[in-house]
Amino acid sequence: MSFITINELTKQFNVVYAVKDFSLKIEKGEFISFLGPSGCGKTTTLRMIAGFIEPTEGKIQIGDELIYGQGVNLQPEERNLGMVFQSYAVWPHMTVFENIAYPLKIKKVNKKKIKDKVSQVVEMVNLQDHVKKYPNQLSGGQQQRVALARALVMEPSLLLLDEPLSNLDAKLRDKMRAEIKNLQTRTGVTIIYVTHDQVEALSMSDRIVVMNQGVIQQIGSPEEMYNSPTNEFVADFIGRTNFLKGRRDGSSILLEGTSVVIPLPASENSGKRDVTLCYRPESIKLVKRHNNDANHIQGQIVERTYLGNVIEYVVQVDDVQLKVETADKLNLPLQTNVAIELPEPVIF
Amino acid sequence: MKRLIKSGNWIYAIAFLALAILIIYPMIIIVYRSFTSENELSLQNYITVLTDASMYEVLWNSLFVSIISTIFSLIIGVALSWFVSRTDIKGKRWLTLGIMIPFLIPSFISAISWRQLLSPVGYLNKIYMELTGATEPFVSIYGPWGIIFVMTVSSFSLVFMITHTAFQNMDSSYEEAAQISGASRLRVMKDVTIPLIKPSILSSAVLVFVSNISNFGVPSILGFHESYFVLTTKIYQLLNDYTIRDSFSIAASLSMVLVLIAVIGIWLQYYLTNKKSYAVVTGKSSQKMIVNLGKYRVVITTLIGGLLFMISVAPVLAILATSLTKAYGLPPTLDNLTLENYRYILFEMPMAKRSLVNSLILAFGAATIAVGIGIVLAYFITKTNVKGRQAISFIVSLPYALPGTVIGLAIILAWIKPLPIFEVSIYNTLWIILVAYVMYYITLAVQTISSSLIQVHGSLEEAARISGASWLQNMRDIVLPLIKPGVISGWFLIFIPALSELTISILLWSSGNETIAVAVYNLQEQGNMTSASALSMVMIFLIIAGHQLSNWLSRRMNG
Repeated sequence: MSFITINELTKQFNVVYAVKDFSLKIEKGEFISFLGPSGCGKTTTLRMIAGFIEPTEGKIQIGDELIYGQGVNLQPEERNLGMVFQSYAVWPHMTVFENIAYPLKIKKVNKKKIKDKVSQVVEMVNLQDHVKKYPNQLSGGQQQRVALARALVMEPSLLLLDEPLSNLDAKLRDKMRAEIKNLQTRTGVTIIYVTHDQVEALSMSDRIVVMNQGVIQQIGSPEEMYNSPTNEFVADFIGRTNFLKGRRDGSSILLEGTSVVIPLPASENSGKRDVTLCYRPESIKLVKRHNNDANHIQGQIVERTYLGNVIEYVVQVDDVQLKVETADKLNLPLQTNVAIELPEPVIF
Repeated sequence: MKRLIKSGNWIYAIAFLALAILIIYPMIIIVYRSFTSENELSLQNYITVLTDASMYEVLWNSLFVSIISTIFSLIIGVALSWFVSRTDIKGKRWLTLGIMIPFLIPSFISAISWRQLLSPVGYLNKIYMELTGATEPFVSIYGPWGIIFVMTVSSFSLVFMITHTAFQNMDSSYEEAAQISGASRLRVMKDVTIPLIKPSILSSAVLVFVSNISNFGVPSILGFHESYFVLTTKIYQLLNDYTIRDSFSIAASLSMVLVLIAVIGIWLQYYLTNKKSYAVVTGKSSQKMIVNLGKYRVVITTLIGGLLFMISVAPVLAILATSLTKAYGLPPTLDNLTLENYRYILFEMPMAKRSLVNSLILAFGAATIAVGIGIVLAYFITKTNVKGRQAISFIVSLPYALPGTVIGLAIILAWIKPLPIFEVSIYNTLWIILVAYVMYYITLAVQTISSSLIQVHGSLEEAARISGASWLQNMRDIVLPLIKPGVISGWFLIFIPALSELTISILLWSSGNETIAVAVYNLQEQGNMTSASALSMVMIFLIIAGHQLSNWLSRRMNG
């Protein structure tokens, strides 16, 4: 049996579904991200797991304990969870030590043990020199670490992180990302991480749950998400994509707005006549000259953006524009006639 | 959030019960009584009030003194705030201090001091008669114009404070834009500055008007002599007149007129503050446009300084002088100086001694209870999303907006009968005054604590819950420590005015249960001016000490 089981969790506000039929199994030690645009229901789901929002329906089980469902509804303080808030929620009237020690104090752990445990987590998050300070003497990143330490000090079965990095600047965000991942590897704690930032989700997670309008769109590893999205929303939300409309004609597909015909991929067996094809910009190959291959399509460069490590072109093919990203030093001016080579597409 | 409430349910229950007993029940009773005549439902009281010519006159008197004194307060208050914030007048700090003195002195003390100066046998009239040999006094403070005068000098400070803030917060670029367009400085004043602070002027006008029509001390001290009655003093007289049948019910319907005026006031205030959004409060303290007074600078400074000395400092000096003389009426020469009056009221006279203890107990008790209930109600209003919390918020905002006379009468009507289970009445005890104070001041507690609670971000509490804290532990460890400054300032905001409360206490006191204000009032009615003055000085000292302590505590907590 899985460590955490969430069954058809639903939250209805009046007639609107904030979350609908959310089901997920999580293994012990997994790092799971809830990813989606704002208002997609990811935070509502997290707060239902924490106990701050009462679900309309559903069941949540952690380990062998039922925390919600079948008439059971444990209070947040009875769920033995750790949580890091978007605003850190580090109490301004307590020192770093007092903040981190608070969950232990509530559990009436003896003073000696509190001291040991706190210094252990303080070392883990690298705050040894700051234990006696008040939050207003700390930087945003340091406050974030206090929040993390406070969440970890109870050795919770599950750690909930609600957009913890969104208030930090870009450099610090990269650093904290690595630190959180590192902490998880060392402690083996199970993590649910809510974010709207695909880079965070892709780089840290074992599995990602993409949500939109209260409904799970896809659950899978970062590689699955990127390489084989199951619908247009996921393909669009994670990474950048060229969407092309196509019409099926026997064993080939005609790309709308062009005269290009491509062979029907072996994976396509839906039988639909009108399909959508997705191409990642970096998967499209740009070649200078046309060499009559069936997969080579003629076009012209109409936009060019230099980004340092890559150059991004927009290539006009008949009535359609395609984004193409090249990592090599192929540096072409505007108006250049080029040929492009399309890989096997993902088709919906 | 609904779950968060659960564990605090019994605390909410106590607070709502207190709310029902303290506010809702007396309000229902007073409305009910206004519609009962000789124990039957009828409109008779209203017919009496509306057909009796003497009642008409009372209503007219109330409106007359309140409207005229409001207009005078506005003129003086706005002019002073303009001079202080927008001209290069000298000694701004001293002028501001002079303007703020009347704000610290309760208006009935001001009435007593002006009576000492300008009654037919007052200090100034005596000096006038001695200097000119006239046999008639120069002017008498008794009657409507005396009431208007004292109300004005007691309330222009409020107008000053509100409009001064508006002048200070106004973005100068509006004025600079007018200047660049070619307007002279005075023209800018007329076309831009004054229209922009108009909402503040109107809002202070409403506050002053409602406060003056609710005033009891000034019209009673300066009006009874000439049988000049306003609504509040008429209600007081009715309650002390056992010859009129159904006097309590008539008083109840008369007080409904006051309630109506107060409710219109609340509505206007609400309307004005919400409309005020076009105002220009940026909080940016940029360079202000200062009008150069030029050659008039010294003259104007002297005139305003002199005027302020006359209306702010002189009354305090008059009371101080009387409190230090052997007998009222003796000239304040060195020979007549004595501390005897202070010894007498502090160590000998039982009523004065009692009143000091009573007022300290009442102010301390009322502030503590109101803040205690206020914390729970404010938490309910700001931190939950239960339906009906807006209704609670409205009910709590009522008492302080109503005239003290209405509160006092409602409390009498509600509590005069023995309590159901205990079979004793709290009427004629100190308890009834405490109950009335808590009812009246709870509004202040809820308002100050609510504004501190709004600053406490919800995630701070959620972090405590997820750390294992129960609702009560979260309150004790997180919420209360964070709102402590607001709670303490709310406590003093009640404690200080409660020390000198007159309007409610005068309706509810009984022998042995006098408050300081009641004792001062009774002493001066008995003609014992020296003791009344000494006790007034002690009261002023307590008020100033309270302010200092409050400021010191808030500085210590914020620094």
